Amino acid sequence: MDFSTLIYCTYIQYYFLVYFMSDLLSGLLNSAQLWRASENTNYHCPTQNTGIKELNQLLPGSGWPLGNVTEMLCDTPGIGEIRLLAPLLQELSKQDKWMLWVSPPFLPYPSGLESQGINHQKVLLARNLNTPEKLWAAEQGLRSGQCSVVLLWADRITNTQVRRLQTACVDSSAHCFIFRQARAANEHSSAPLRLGLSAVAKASATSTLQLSIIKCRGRWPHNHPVILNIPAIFTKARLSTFAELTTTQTSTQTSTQTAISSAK
Amino acid sequence: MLWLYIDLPTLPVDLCERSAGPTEAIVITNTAGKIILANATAQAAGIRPSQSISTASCLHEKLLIKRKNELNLHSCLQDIAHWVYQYCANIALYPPDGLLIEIESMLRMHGDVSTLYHKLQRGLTEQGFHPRLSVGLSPLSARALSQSNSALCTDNQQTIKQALLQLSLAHCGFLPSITEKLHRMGFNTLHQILAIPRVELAQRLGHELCTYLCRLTGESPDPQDFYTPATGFERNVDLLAEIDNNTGLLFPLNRLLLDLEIFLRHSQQSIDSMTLQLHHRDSCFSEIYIGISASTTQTKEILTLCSLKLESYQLPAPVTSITLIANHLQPYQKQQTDLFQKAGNPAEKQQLLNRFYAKLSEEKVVTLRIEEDHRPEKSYQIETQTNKDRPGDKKQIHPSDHNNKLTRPTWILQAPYPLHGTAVTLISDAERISAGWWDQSINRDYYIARFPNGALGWIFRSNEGNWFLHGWFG
Repeated sequence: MDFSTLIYCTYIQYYFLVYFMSDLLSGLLNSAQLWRASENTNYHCPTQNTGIKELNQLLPGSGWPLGNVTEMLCDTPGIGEIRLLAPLLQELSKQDKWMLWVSPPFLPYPSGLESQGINHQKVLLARNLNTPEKLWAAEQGLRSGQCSVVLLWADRITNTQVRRLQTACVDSSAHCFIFRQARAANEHSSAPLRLGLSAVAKASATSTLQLSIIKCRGRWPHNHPVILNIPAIFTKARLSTFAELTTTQTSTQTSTQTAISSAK
Repeated sequence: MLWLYIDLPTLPVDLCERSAGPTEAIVITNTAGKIILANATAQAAGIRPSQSISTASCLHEKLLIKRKNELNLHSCLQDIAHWVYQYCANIALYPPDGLLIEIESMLRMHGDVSTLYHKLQRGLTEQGFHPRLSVGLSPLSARALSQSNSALCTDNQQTIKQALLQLSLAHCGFLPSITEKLHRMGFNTLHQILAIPRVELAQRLGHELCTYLCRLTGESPDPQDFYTPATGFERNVDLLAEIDNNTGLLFPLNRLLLDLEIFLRHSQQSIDSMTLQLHHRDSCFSEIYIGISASTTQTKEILTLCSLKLESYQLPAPVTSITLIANHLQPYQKQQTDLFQKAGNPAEKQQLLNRFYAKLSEEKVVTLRIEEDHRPEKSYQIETQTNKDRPGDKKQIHPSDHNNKLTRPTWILQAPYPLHGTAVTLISDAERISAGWWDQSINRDYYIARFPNGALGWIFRSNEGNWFLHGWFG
């Protein structure tokens, strides 16, 4: 066998290999049995507008998922975890249903809620509860169908308990947000949407929230955290134009670096 | 006048069967220890009245034995009278096991005798009783006819008279000694007695018999003491066996609550609270108060509340009987609901609250209220169930009334927290709050501050120059 015959044989072999492979591949691709993550756009879950343009773009279905548990992993209160929900809560206060807050870390300030457009009369507060009571209250709230949203602060919550809340949530088509510590990010959870919230160090004058999507059903999560620029207060007027503001807003207030210890 | 008598010969057994279930073999004994009544299950095992307890125990291994004088038959009669009250106004109790109803005045409402007759019969059978009904022209004749099982259901006076005359002497309700004497004289039916001149009868057998005969035939009036319904609800159920676990209490409680629901529906009232008395063996009892935030008539809802309340309740001793007391009655008002159910249902919203109050203690479930005060500490109020104002008592601050332009945090600390040496960045201008000279004067400059960890706090400098944290912009 001379060299040219060898080349020819290899070529023929290669040609047939490619031919058969491509045939096999196209057959596989055309059959409905193969699931391709890149084409997964047909995830249907009713959502509600978050009121924040940047956040809408991040979330599947462009909004907070209705009838699903959302986990918010956040270590320090006061970084904007409620402000992130303010547009939603404002929308939900139009419904004649309770907004159930189960064992929040502090007392919600009615005037503060009102200044963000949240009707404080719709807020039902369950506090000083132990973990079983918290879960019971949250589940009752969801199952009753009389709560538009349930906000639950629970550190020690197992995946089984999250799944239980998720089932209750699906039946009621209410929103459910569970606030947990950031270390829970490493634990497995049944919540379809998990967001990590943290404050941006060395930020400019307005509060800036760093949001990372740890898990989201129906879309690949973003690998890198996204910075959302959320003002300290959502007033009603600002709320409507907030979507435009977030991109262009520059601080108008002069920040004064003051060490209180020195002022004393 | 037309009367209807309801005879309940098996009332003691029916009463026990209602709380124990029909599968249990139940016998009722008299004080001497002889069986006087047995239910169907016991009879199927061969147990008959007048047997001794020991014979009966041999015939059925799991026999429930109750003495007749231990049962509260009178209150049961009253309950039945209350139920009958929805159909008839004039009811007289005939303890221990009968009810007399005057029906002539009610006939126009019900149409005819048989409609009313069957309504009552069906209703009582559904409740687990075995009634014998009969009409009569006088109270005593109605009773005699129903006890003889004539089951007369007509308003034809001639038929009723005829049936009365054919009545055997044993059913006429004479004293046993007199019945005995009459039998020995060769009389068997009432017809034969009435044929004798009264004077001779009185000479032989006494005046009482004549008076009785006059009342029986309706010749002399027989005034009745009619029943008036109670204003509150209080009912007791004796448990056949002691119950020592909380879930076991729910079954008899459900029975009580069904009775309560019927009571409330008939009197068109609703309750906002009730008391549950659990009686223990040594004649002490524990009391459980169940508050309901909006008045309700729904048994299912109340039972859920009771089970939630009982879950957290530690029984000090086994329970022998339960009393349900509901004296705070209010006129029932139908709540209007939305046709399309888009908005929350106010009644169901209240139900959720009720459940929370029942399971968690009252101070754990609260709502918030804005007070008209500039001082942050006094500008809100935590409302529990008890200190809640009735709507309209106080001016509710409507969201639109409130000044939305103010910068206020989401979280408020209930007491300002002193800041010692924390380096923060002030990112807003000062807002001076100076108020309260009339009781607790404050004079503070509030700022929004960024903390080193990135959180936004609401801090203030007091008059003395000290810094405090008062809230978080969550």
